[in-house]
Amino acid sequence: MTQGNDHAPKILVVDDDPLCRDMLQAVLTDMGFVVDTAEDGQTAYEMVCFGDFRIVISDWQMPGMSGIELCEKLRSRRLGEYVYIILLSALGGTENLVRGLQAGADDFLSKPFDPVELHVRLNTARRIVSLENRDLIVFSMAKLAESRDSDTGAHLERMREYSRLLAQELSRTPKYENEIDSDFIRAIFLTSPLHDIGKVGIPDHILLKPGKLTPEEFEIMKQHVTIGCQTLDAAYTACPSAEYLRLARDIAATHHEKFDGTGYPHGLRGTEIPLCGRIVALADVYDALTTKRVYKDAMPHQQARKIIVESRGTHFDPDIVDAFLRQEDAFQEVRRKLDDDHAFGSSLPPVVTPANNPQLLFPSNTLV
Amino acid sequence: MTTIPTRTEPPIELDAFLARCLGRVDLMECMLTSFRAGIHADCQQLQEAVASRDLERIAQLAHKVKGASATVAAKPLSQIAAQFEDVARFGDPNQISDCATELFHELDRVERMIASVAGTEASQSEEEVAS
Repeated sequence: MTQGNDHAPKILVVDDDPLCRDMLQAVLTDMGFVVDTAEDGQTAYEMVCFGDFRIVISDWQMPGMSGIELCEKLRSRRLGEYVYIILLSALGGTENLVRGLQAGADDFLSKPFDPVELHVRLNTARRIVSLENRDLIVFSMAKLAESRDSDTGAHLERMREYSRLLAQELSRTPKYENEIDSDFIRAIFLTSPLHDIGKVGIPDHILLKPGKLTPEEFEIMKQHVTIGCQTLDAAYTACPSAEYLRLARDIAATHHEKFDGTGYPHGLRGTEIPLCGRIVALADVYDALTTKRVYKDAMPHQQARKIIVESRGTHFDPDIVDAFLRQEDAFQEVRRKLDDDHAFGSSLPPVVTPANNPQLLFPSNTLV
Repeated sequence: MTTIPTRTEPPIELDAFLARCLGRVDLMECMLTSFRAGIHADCQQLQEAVASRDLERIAQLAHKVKGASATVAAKPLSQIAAQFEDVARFGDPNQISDCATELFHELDRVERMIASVAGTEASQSEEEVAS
């Protein structure tokens, strides 16, 4: 019954009964799954939010948070990945079945479990979760868009790390603790690489122009924001349950806005700019400043820091600059680990193009 | 005091439990050892709860015994624990003592079977070493 676990989704087993928990873990591990366990609903919820579990097998009756309550709580996450939930119970009857389905359970398994039945039901779960291989698809889209651009190397990998660091730091402050949860952090990490996806709609003679853009060309260049926004908005309209597409759209639409209202395309100011756009704006600029381009050397961290601090309240949200300053060691660590000579996490090799355009690499076009 | 019915069915359906363990004897033994340790602790607490007539606690512990014994295919014990839970939650509190007696009697049968399984396995291992 053992099967390869190369692509086996991680399973979380939740049961207050240690014997049943250990038994399931042993059997599932023998079947080739990667399994972890939790002894109560609250611990399980936190493990799902901060881990990468795609399947949860939970007991129905548990002290504290029951299996039903865990189901409801997992389903109330707006931005999280879909988690397939199997409720395990000795309870029978249509009423309980309906109650479980209403709470968001996908399947049921009676206790004590039958290993053959368990295996069959998990095969169904694997098929369902594999349909939503979201992370890979999103990042591949971003890399595809980037492949037309100049030699930006591991830009996407770094800026999603920077975006996550900023979101995590902000979430620890009273002002943002209710606005930024773990799903937001995960979603900004996932979708921030799509910020420049609209560049696919910019003609090569502008996108790859080695020299300075004319004002007319720059106006065309700026349209990448609108193209990206429209593309992602169409995707979101087609699939409104995919909340992360809304976040991706907002990032694409607003990462060139400035806190004082002098950015583009709409001249939004302050909190008119969605939080995700304000975060990605700083992450994008920091990476552009601190990495090497053909026409310039990488700027040292201290110099980039100075520019960012000077732009506090003009280009950037002061709260986000403050978060950056509290995380500057971590920024430098990301930069060191993901420099373009040692990039990892890239699913597609960078495409080398002969030309480079400084105006494309500096998001503000005024910091160069 | 009621007479405890004589049960003829095996206290643990070993074949069914071994199948649940994917045919792995090592896993079956390991689970039976864990079961024995856990059930001891639960039953000790159950005795205390019975002595203090704490019906809610009795129901909780009977529920635990029901689940654990079902996991190791100890069907009669699981059924008795289920009845015990029902009595504690909805039944006549005067039946508590009888339920407890029946449960501990069945637990004794289960324990003896686990010991015999362990003994069989141990003697088989000794034979293997000797040969």
